[in-house]
Amino acid sequence: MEKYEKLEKVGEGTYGKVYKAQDKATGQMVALKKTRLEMDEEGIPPTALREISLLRLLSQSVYVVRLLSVETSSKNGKPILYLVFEFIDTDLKKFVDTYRKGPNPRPLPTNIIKNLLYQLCKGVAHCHSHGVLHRDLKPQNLLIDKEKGMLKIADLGLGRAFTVPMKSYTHEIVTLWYRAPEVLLGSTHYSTGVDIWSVGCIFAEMVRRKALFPGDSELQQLLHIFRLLGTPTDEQWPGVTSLRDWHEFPKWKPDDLGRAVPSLEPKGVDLLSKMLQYDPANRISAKAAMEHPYFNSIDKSQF
Amino acid sequence: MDMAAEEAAAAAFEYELDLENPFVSPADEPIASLLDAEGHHAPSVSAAASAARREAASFISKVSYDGEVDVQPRVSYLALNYVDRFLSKRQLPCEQKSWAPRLLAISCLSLAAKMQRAAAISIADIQRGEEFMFDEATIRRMERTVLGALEWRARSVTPLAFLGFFLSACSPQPRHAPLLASIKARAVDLLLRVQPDVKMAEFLPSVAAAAALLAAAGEVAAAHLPAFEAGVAACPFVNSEKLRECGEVMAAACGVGSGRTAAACGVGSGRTAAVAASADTPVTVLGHHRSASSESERTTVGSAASGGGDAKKRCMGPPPPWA
Repeated sequence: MEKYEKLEKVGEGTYGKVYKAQDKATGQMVALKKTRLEMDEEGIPPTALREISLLRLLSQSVYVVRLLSVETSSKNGKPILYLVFEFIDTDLKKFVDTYRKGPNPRPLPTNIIKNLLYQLCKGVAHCHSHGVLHRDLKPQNLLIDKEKGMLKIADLGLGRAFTVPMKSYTHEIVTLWYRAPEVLLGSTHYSTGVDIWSVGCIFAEMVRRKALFPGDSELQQLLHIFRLLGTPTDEQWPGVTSLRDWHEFPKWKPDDLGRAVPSLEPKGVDLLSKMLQYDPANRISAKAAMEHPYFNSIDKSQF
Repeated sequence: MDMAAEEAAAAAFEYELDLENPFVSPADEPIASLLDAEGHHAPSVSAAASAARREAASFISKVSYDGEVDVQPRVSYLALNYVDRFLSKRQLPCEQKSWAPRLLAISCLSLAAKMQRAAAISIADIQRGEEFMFDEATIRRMERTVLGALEWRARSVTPLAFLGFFLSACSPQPRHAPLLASIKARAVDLLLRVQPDVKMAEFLPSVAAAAALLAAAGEVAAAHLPAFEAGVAACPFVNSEKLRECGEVMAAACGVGSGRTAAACGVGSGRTAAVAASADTPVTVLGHHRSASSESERTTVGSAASGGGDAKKRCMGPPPPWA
């Protein structure tokens, strides 16, 4: 760990402290994530080993925050694991906030929304092509390199390797705003569609500059969704009423999605509606989304 | 949802790349990701390290085949892959000491078991009968050293990952599922048996997979071999020269293959010929492995003959169970 100079603590991540640090040899800025991994006599835990190797594999994409290296150091004779990521100073939440509040509130320019959304689809497609779900996509997990106009997906997979003690000592409330209805309803077989739902919510949030479904409990979250998209029926989503957490809900009729995102052009509303399909099997894939006419006006060759 | 339920749910729905069945993922073009990755995983073991490699390989084979410790074939396969990748990156610490390759092999087996979700390997059982035993702490330290050398890329892209692709891309229509399953089983078996041959470390995983598939098809379904050959030839990323070389290494080590390759090695009906060729000592070939790949028939024949001693043992035993 002598290779890095810790500059400041930048956060208390869901799985440990995060420091901004500098590589003494190269001057490169990095994010040091200290894990709470216990390496007992069994050595590195299998889940952590698998997750870290997965991150190494996915790090090949520029749309995934790069895991530069894994360092071990020891404290009181116990090995501690540090994950060294490239440092990127802002995230999509902060980025959208600069357009929402501050001295000059204004909508995000259309081409910025398209460019960021396209990169997000590309990163998600990369993960899915490796058979990996993110499962916790949200604006705070999408880092933005403002200079290069790049978006990178962070905190991939770490949920599983490092979750176990999480709830007991962080009081962070896990956000439900981007959670897909099948997860909220307790479905036992979810797949790539859960990430696409989150992408849809994030897309709408960039357009609206505020969350599309800001629920504060699982029930409220479902009600937010149902009020806009209509209460789902077995006809449009076969099996929905048999899901574990299904109850009798008020029967709302679908509202016009375009009214929730009034500044969005019709092609954008079309793409959004394909991402927010109730039946996960009908939801557009990340790869197909990249081919949607909404992106016809951007220069894809730069990505 | 309470916490225990949540954890149980997370474990049950874990959804990640299965390196042996990567093509069940919902991706459109997973082959591209694999081809992308295999470059990072191609080991190249120097002649200097080949003695250590041989020692480590023989320790892994011993624990895998003697039945005292339950080590699944896919675990031992991955372990030897780690050994190769480690030796192609770093010099083995205390290389000259006879225990060094064993320490490397044990650490790689332990890591591979963790990656494959197999039962943890008992440090005591695996060393039973050895002169002295490494303690837990030493092995864990070596595990971290190995991971450092692998840069924590423990998801090796091995030939096993490509078999499914070649089977689905290259098999003649109409598909006959039981036949394809037996071709795949034999190809896996061949890959496991030939892996201890250091020359195999020179081939890209995709090439090794294609070669194993053709050798297996030649044995199991000779009538369909031309169709498989045409299918593989249509894959632009398979270098035909390398494919041929790899087929020869496989034929030499396992006494399989067909047509020209088998004839060149003097292999008639595979196994019997391998036994007949086993008179030479296997040691002689290790010195000139590095230059062998492009050299000539002479080397190929040489390795065929000298590899025969091991080939006899490897190929005459019952095929390992494939889980």
